[in-house]
Amino acid sequence: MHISEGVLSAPVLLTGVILSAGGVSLGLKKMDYERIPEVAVLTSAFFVASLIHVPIGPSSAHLVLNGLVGLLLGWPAFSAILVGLSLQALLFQFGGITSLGVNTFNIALPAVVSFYLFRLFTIKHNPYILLFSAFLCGVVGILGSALLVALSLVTTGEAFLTVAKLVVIAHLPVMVIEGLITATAVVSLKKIRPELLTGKAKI
Amino acid sequence: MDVFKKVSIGLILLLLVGSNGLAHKVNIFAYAERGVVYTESYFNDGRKVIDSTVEVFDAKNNKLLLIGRTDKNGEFSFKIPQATGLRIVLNASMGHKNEYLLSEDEVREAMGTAKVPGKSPPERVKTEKMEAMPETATKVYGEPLEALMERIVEEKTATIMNKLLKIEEQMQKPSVRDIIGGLGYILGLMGVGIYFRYRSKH
Repeated sequence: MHISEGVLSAPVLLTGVILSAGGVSLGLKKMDYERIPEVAVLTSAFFVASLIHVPIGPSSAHLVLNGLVGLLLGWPAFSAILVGLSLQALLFQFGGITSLGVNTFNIALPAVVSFYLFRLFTIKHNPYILLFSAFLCGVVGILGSALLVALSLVTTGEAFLTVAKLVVIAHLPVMVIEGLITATAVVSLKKIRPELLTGKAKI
Repeated sequence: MDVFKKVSIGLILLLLVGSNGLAHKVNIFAYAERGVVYTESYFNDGRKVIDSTVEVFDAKNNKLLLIGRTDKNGEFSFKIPQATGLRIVLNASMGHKNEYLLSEDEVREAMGTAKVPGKSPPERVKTEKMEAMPETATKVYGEPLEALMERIVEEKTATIMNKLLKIEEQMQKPSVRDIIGGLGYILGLMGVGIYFRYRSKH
């Protein structure tokens, strides 16, 4: 998921920075002060998740948790993911400082998309709907990011379909595991703190 | 804050799991010996990077010298193309890339032992004296003394080289200190956010 330094060309990197800056400023605007601890906890979860490596499948991949972060935060997911990625780049050398904009956008946009797709399902009390929509939310987060990574790499001369296939297949096990984690988290949050799952877009 | 306590406990558990299984980043390590450069590529969870492109550049003028692919052990070796510093770039798929810089000294030294014409190392002066000695003194069981010594040194250093590779691999992995530091930064940012909230209230 993390595109390394020196892979993408300057225009792509710049586009990434501009798009991410837009997302982050929108996220900061929509972040109530009351929700700062919530954002911080999910940022930490996202930061640590990349260290959990999923050894199944053709390539080595790791957890991202962007579906869960997006579902619980909405637009502020952009700020959470930017902070998480910056720390990963500085401390673990995952990705890179120059590719931070592109990486933030690639991971945060699907997070926000899955928020809008699934937020209304999370207010439902039917446990099956809840479980299934949360699972899909985890899957959509990873799938979206994989497709965006492939799209970013097209500019380096690689064919979209080939890379997309490669990235999606490599992340299939991660999709399933993230789906399960998101489903577990959402179902238990519904029991412990249902007010976190208001489904409100906070616009 | 009950849920946050639970999440924090979860995070600590993740952290413990996380320090064993690691994520996606590629590394390349190279060393030169007897005129050949050996490279090893691996993901930072220790998996070998198989069938990926390795490009070798002149470190000074960035001229592409040669291209190769890693084998199923993540290894790729090539003859030193020229006596300059070499920048070895690994291009794994899906946007993963890393490089290793082999210094000019290291390259020259490896070429010296390989007896590359025109670049004879200074210790070659000694051979004149050796030639004057009877042949039996420079041979042990029919093997030239020099070759024998080189073989022994190589055998002895192989284990050290492997250890160095392991240490290099270890150093690329995120440490628990990094993880805790990162979580600290996030808490700090949260503090800053909350500070602004209270400041704006007063």
